[in-house]
Amino acid sequence: MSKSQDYFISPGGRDDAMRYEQASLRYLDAYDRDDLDTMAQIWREAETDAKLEQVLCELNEGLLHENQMQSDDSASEKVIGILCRSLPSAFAESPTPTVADVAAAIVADRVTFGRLSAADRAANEKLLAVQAAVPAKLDGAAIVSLQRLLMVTASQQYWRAFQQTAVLINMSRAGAGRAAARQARPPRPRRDEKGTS
Amino acid sequence: MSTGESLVEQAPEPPSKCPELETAITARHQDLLAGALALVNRRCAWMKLAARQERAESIVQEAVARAWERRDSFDRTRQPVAWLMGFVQKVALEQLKKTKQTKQVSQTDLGEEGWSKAMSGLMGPTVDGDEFELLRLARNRLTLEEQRVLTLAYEESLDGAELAARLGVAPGAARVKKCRALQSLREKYKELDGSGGQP
Repeated sequence: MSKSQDYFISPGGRDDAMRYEQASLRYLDAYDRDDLDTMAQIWREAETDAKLEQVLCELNEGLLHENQMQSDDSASEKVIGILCRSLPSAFAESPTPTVADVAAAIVADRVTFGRLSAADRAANEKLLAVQAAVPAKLDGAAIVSLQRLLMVTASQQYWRAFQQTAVLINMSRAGAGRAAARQARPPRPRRDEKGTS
Repeated sequence: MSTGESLVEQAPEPPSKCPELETAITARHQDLLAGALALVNRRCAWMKLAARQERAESIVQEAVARAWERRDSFDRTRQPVAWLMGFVQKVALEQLKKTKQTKQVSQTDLGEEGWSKAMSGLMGPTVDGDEFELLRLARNRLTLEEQRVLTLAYEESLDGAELAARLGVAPGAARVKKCRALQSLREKYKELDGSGGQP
């Protein structure tokens, strides 16, 4: 993790930011464990702190948004659950590959791995520890975003190999899922030489 | 009737006014409602949305009524919305049945001060080497979205409207996302700390 310069320019600002971060976490923790007394205590602190009052109001708005998202997800899950029971073949699950899965697949592919430079191999080594899921849509923009997130330096050649490997993994898992979901069909009756079945 | 008695009844004293509270009640009604609705959502998740909104509105009305009765005790140097929210919390506590299920909140062995140090590690390497390494490993275990939120908040130093704009959500939602990412980081840190830092 790199240093954040802005926080070191203004020590007071950094202390305030830390204080409001802690208060936000305390408030959210209290909310999660249904501790209204602690929440009330934090509101009492906000009576003498206008910024804290603003922070808490924002958190409440954010909690409503979060609840709405969860309600939407819950409704979607109910619909998907009904569809799964009605149309099981359409919902064969294939687990999403992680960054570590892709890195491991690159190592296993001797041809691809053999073409990597020492620096790219070292970068791939670091990614073996990253358990985050790879985005479902892995286009060029997603790869650039992934590079920034993972903070690993590697060549464009490596990231092309990463993208191709991830796509192959997705395809093979999706294909395996469809194969598992495909219902066995009875063999077609054979026609004899006279053309009758 | 004796001459000492006044023939004019004393006019009742007008009720005391509190313009700060009046303004807060009218202008910040949505904030009070949001606070009440968040509590109702927590304790009455089984209810339909319209019913929850109605319950929240009822709580706010009751809270405002009680606060107005005690307006003479309001210290005008204090933040009025925070004071009113105290009444909202109290009424909610009385009216909403306590839920049986509560989300387990993981606590680290670091304690308040230790966790402050760990959080400061996100802003700069002020924690010692072992803690910093554990933080780094814990961060690798987060989802990409959580890592993105922490990158924007602590490395690009975005906050408030800037962070919200980058995340494509309202400022409140951005603040909650940041806190959720920190909670996840804390959980992963605890898992690693308990396992001796083995990834």
